[in-house]
Amino acid sequence: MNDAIPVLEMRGVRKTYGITQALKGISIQLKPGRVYGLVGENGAGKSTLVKSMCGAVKPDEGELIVAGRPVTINSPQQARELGISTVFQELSLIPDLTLAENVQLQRQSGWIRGRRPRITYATEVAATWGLTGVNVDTRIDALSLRDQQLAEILCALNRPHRVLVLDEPTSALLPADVEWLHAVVRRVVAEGSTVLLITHMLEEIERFCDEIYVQRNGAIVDHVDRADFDRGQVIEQMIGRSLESAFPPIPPIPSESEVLLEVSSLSTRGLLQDASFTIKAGEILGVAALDGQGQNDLFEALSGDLRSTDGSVRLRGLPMRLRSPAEALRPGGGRAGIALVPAERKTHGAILDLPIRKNVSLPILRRLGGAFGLRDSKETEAVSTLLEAVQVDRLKIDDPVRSLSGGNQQKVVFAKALAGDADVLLLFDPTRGVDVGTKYEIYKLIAGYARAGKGILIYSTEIPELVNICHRVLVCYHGRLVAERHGAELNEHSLMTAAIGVIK
Amino acid sequence: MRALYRPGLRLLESGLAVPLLFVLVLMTIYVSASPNALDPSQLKYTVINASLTLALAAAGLAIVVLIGGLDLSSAGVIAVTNALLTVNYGGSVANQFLWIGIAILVGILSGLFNGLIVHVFQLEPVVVTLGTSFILGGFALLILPKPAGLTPVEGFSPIAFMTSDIAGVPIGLLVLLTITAGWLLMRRSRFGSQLMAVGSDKEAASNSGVRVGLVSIGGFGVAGGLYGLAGIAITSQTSGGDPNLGSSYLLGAFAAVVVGGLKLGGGRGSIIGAILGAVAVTIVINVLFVLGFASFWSTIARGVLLLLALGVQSAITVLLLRRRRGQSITVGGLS
Repeated sequence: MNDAIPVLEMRGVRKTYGITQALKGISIQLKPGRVYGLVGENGAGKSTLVKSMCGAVKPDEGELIVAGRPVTINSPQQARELGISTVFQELSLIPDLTLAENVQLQRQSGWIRGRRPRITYATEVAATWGLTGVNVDTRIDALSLRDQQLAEILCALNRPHRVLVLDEPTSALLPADVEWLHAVVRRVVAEGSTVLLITHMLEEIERFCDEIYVQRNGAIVDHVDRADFDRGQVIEQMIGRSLESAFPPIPPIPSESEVLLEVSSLSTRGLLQDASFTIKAGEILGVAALDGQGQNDLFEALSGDLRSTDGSVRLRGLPMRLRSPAEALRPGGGRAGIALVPAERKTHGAILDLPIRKNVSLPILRRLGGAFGLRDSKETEAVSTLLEAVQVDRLKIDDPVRSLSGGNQQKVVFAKALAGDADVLLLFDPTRGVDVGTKYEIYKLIAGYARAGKGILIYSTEIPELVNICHRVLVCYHGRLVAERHGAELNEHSLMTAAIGVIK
Repeated sequence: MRALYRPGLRLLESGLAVPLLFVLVLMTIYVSASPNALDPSQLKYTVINASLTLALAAAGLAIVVLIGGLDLSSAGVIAVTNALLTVNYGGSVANQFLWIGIAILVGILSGLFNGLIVHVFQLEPVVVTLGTSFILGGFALLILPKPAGLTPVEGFSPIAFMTSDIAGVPIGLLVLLTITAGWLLMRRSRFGSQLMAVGSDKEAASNSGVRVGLVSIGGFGVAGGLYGLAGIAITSQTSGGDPNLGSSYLLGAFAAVVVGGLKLGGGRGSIIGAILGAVAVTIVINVLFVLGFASFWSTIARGVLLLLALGVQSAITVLLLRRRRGQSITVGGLS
C-alpha cells in the first residue's frame, strides 16, 4: 500500500501573511485508502495548510501534486473538480437556503428543479449516509450547530471525493455522532479515497488515523505511524520548548487580599455553561482553551457585551448588572468596574483614524468636562499620565492610532482600558500579533496592575504565556470550566492535556 | 391546522406575507370607499399602470438587494431610456421595436457595467451605481435637454400598447405576471440558488463552489434590463420624456423593496415581494385620496407604511421564525 502514488502531495509550500509566516515549507504526502491526522496548537497554521489544499488560500511558493500531476488550485471550485472535498472549520453552507437546496448547490454536477424532487433527493442522500429524521426543508440558520455540522459533512460526502478533508469536524458533535463519523470515514477509505482529519482531540486521532502529521509554528515537525503514536510525545512536539527568560517575575498575592470578583454559575445562550470562579485583588487568573470552547462568551458576558442567561457576578461583594459595556465599566455608586481589552484591537479596541488622545479619553469623557464641554488641558493631562504608564511616547498624543506599530496600538488599547480605573481587567489574547519585545512590556504592565491590587482575567492562545504570567489557570472545554491548575501543577503539559479534553 | 403549518411557515419565511397583507388591506379599504374601483378600466389606470414603472424598478432593485448590494442606477437608466425613446421613437413598427430593444439593451449593458466594476475593483455597489446613475442622467440631459412629448404614431404602437389592454386585461398586469413567472423559473434554476447564496454569505458561497463574480455580474445585468423596461413603461404612461423623471422612482423603489419583505443585505426575499410592495406603496395614495385626505398626506402615509412593514416583518421574525433550534437529525449505522 505504501508504494502507491500519493493522491495528493505538497512540496515546500509556503505562505506568508504580512510578517507572519503561516506555512514554512510544508511537505506532506497523502496516499490512497489511508486516514491522516494533522495536529497542532492554535496558530500552528493547520487551517492555512487546509485552505491552501482546497483553493481558499493561494500559497506563495511550493508545488501541489494531485495523482502524480502538478496542479495549481485557484478556487474552491477547482479543488472540487480535482476531487478534493472539504468540510471547512467555519461552516460553509448558505444560511438563507434550505438544507435540500444546499445539498443541490454543493453537488458537482446535475441540477434538480423544483422543491419536492429536491427534498426527495436530499432525503435519499442523507439516508445513504445513515442520517435519518432529517427535515431537509429547513433553512440552515434554523438548524442547531450540531445539525449544521452534520449537514456540512453530508454535503462534502455527496461530492466526488478522492481526498476528503475534515477540518475540526467534531467540534459541535455529540459522542454518538463521532461514532457515526468513524463509520463514515471507514467507508470512505474502503472505497479507496483518502481522509485528512484535523482535530485537537487526540483520542479521535488515535481512533481514526493511520498516520499522523504534527505541525508547529507553520512547519511539519513530525510524521508518525499510528503504531508509533505516543500521546505524551506528540503533545510535547505540539507545544515545543518555551523560553523561560521571556517573562517577568509574577508578583505575589498579598495574604490579606480580599476577593474582588465573584462569578457564580454564569451561563450564556451560546456555549458557556455554569462558570464559577473568584479573583482576588492582585491576582492574575488565566484561562486556557482551544479555539471556540466558550472563552469568548465568558469574556463578552463579563464585559457586558453579551447578556448572560443565568448566574451572577459580584464585584467587591456587590452584585453587578452586566447589560452593556457601559454598565460593566461604570457600575454606578462611584464604584470602579470591569474593563475589557478585546481580541480584535483593530475593530473593537481602538478607533484607528482618531488620534491617541481621543481614543484614550473616550471612556472617561464625563470626567474631563468643564462648563463649556471638554476641557483640553484636563484631557491632555489625563491622557499623558496614562501613556506614561503604558510607555508610549506622550509626544505622539495627537497622532492617529493607525500610525503606530501593532505593539504600540495594543498599548494604547491598554491605556484606554486603564483610563476608567477599572477594578478588574479582562484581557483577551492581549499579545496576539505583538512582537517579542513589546510582549515583555505587556507582561510587565500586567504584573504592574496586579501589584496595584487589581484583578486580572487573561485568556491567551499561547499556553506558555499563561504558565509563566498567571497565578492560577482555569481550563475551558466545551463551554465548561473543567480544570484549575496552580503551583506545581501549572505547566504546559497539564494545561494542554486538559484543554484537549483529556483530564487525568 | 397541521397541514397549513408548513406552507404557512414558508410564506412567512419568504417575506411575502407582509406585502400580501398590505395589498389586501389597502385594496379592501380602497374598494369599500370607492365601489367602482374594481371596474377593469379603473383598475388598469389607478392600480396597474400607476404602479407599473415603480414595480419594474423595484423588481430590478430587488435582484441587486438579493445578492447583497444596493443599486442607485435605476434613476439614470430610467432617465436615459426615457430620453432615448422620446427622441428616436416613431416611424415604422419595426423601428419602434428596434428602439424598445435598444432601451432594454442599454439597461442590461449598464447593469453589466455596474457588476463588472463592482467585481473587478471590489467596490461598494452603492457608490459605483451612484456614479453610473449620474453619468446616465447626464446623457439623458444631453439627449433630451427639456421635457418633450412623443411623436404621435399612426396605427399600432408597442409603447402605447404597454399601458393599454386586451379584452379588459391590462397589458401591464401581463408584463408583471411574466416577470413573476420568470422569477419563479429562475428561482428553481441553478442561477437562482446561486444568487441567493451569494447574497446570503459570499464566503460560504465561494467555498461552496459558486462563482461569486459571475453570479453578481449576471444579477446586475438582469436588474439593468428591468430598469430599461421601467423606462419604457414610464414613456408609455406619460407619452413623453422628461430627463429629470428617473430620480423620483429611486426612493420609491427602495420603499417597495422594504415593504416587499426583502432583507437589505441580501439572501432573503423575492421579486414578487418587491412588485407587491410597489403596488402597496402606489395604492396607499389612492386610498388616501378616496378617504378625502389632502395630497400632502401621501408622503407621510408612505413613511408610515414603510415603518409599519418593517415592524410587522421584524415581529414575525422574532415571534414566529426564531424557534428553538432542536437537534433533529438522528445518526444511524451505515449499510
